[in-house]
Amino acid sequence: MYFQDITSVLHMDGHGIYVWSTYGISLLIVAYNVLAPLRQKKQVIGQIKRQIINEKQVQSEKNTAVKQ
Amino acid sequence: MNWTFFHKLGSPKWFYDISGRWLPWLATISALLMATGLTWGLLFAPPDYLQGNSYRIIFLHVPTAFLASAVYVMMACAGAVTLIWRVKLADVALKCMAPVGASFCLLALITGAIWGKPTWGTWWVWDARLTSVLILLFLYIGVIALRGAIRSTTTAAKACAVLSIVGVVNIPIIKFSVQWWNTLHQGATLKLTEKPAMAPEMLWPLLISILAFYLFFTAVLLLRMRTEILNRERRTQWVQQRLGG
Repeated sequence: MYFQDITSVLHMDGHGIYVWSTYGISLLIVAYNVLAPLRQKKQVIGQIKRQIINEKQVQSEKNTAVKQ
Repeated sequence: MNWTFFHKLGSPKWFYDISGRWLPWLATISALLMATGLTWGLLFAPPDYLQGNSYRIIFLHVPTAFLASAVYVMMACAGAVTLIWRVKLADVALKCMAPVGASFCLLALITGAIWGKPTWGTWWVWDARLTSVLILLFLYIGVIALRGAIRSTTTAAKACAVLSIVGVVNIPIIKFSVQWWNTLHQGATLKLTEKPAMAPEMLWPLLISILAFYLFFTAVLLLRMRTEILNRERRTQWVQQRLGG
């Protein structure tokens, strides 16, 4: 490692605040790019599954109505 | 030329299946490379003789700025494919690229501004490079907003394709802004035609970070596209079979 101790890693000769803030903000944006599509995927799959179940129910009700 | 590959690629079902196999690999490799490149750059690379430690922002700024421009060019290509061949998947790609590209563009602007403070003494100047990248962010937001404003998927696809293609004129302006006008922004650090001016112990982590961000972009793009395909194809038999259990 280039730095001697944890204090010099954080301080970076006075540039620590700039360097660490960019890494922090980047982490947030990278996390958003991962989490947002995962949430969307869960939502869409949930919607389609509900739609399939509903359609199956409607179909079976129709079938029983026809039999009766 | 054999066009089978092109037609296969245009099939949502084929794409959904093959991307599902690629995704875990892409995600793992990009995560490993990102961790390696950024830790190397942040903790192990030597400081710059002129800028000191503030230059470590380069390992985030350059990959995100590269991607911000590259993703817009990819959107314009996807737009052209949508308009010329009417490949449905091209519009899915265009739609899914826009928010990711916008987030990288925003990140490039933020990291640039924070780097500017200790280096130039200011967060922002209205010079050619910075302004043209800000316009790029507005173009991304424009493409996203345009799609949101049009209800018909086909009309939205055409409108977004046209806006992406027209907006691509901004890309050479961004690229050459540092040569055409006087600017605070430094010229290109990496050039394909010349030997890099950077020391190898700084260059390697930078190249690894760039590769990592490109792979990361590909992975999140596939993730978004797969969901968008399911959403658009929800009435088809293959989607119902896969999700109906």
